[in-house]
Amino acid sequence: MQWLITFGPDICFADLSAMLAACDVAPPAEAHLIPFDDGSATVEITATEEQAACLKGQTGLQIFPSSEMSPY
Amino acid sequence: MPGLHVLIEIEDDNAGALEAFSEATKSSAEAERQASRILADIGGEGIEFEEGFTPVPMFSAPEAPLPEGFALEMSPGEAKRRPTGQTVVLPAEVSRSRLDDLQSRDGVKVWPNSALTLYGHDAAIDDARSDGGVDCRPFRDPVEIDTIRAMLAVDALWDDGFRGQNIVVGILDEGVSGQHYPVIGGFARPEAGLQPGSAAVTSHGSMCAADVLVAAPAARLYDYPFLGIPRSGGAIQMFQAVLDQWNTDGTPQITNNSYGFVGIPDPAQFPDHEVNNINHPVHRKVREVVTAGVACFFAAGNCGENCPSGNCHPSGIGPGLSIHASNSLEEVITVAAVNSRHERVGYSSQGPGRFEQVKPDVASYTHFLGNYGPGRPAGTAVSAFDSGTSAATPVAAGVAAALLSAIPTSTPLQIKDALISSAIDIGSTVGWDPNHGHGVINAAAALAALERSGALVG
Repeated sequence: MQWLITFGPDICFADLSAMLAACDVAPPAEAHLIPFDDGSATVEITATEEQAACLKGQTGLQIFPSSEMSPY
Repeated sequence: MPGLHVLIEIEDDNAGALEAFSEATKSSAEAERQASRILADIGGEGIEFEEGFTPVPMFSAPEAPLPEGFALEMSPGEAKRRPTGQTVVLPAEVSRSRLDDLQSRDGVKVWPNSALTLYGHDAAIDDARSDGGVDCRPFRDPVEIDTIRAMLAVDALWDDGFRGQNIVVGILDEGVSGQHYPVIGGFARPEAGLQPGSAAVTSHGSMCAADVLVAAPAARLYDYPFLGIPRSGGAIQMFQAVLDQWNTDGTPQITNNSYGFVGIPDPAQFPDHEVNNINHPVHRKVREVVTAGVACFFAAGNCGENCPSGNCHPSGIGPGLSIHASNSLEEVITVAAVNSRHERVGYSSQGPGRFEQVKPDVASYTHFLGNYGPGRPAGTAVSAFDSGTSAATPVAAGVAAALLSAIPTSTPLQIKDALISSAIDIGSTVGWDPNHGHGVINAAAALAALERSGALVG
């Protein structure tokens, strides 16, 4: 499944990569980070439900689904 | 005072109604005196009488037959007595805060006071209104683009040279054909299958491109083919690309978004789903884009209760259920769909919205020969005509592009306010309703509204 991970400005990309690795999730390319104007950032990853549950236990990470959309 | 143009009907038993009317037509001072007296009965604050109009007596109650002998009493010559006026009607501009109060009062009825169109144009045959009407399968025949242009009154802008020039509209969709439509940029990752301008002319994105050009033929397009990755993760990347481009050179000024979700996952089980959580990153990014200065038009969706699209999940069909996720954000402009007879197409999604309740904002036109149709760029292999709230939305975005070419400094909020305040009110209630929003957009009226708001033309 695809997920969007959002994290605050107190977490750098190296920290994020380590947190992902702790849940056996491959890190994305740093260039794919999308910043927000409050200093946080988000990035899309691929992870199983179990890996997502593991990531939800990591302090400072928020996980949202990246759900399918349809043309109207 | 920004407000709604309405007709207020008030009980006013008056045996001399005709004489009073006659006097008022001869003297503006008398007309004003009568209007002031009538308005004094209901409290004048928040209500502005339209100058130059004479209060009109009514001789029958709504939905009631005329009194017996009425025809005789009204006939010229030797009528022995005149009928007693039961109510009186006067046009006024009413603030939104007063509207509910007025509508709840005994003895007061508030009616729409909608703009009329002169019947001198070739499109007159399609100007008929059908309040509350619904167009469902089999749908009425599609109309030509020129009919839609006439309904929108784009001539009023085009005659002054405002055809969307210097405006770029970003199409976030499944890709646009750059061979057929004026794609001048956009965004896709190098590894993505679709690059800007590389899609087939039969694509859904190419239909959106064609429909922007209905009202803004001189506009240019950016292609953001995120539906190659048809998830919110693709959308958020494209919105970030929009933001980056905007910060670089002030374009695109508008985005068109004719996509979304077709059901509501159980909030208890999926509290963070895009439909359930307004803080989902994709919604936060959309708000950033609008706040930066880019007007974002979103389709209401095709899950209206009368004839929903086949892919609509039962959880997301009908009033209060079918406008959700980013298209229910307060900041965006959410577009419902009507045909050229001002009938709501039965699949057009219905408010209230899931996040912001007052959705949709406006209605726009669908079911015309744009990208699809005999002799049109994409022919009839995929679709017989342009359809869906997907088509109505870029028509509205194109109107906004034409407006921006007239008044480039307009903000997204000014554009939204102008479209809303000038919309042609249809349906059985005055003002906003969950089927049509505030009404059907009209380019000429919207430009006038923008000018009234104090923006400078050209």
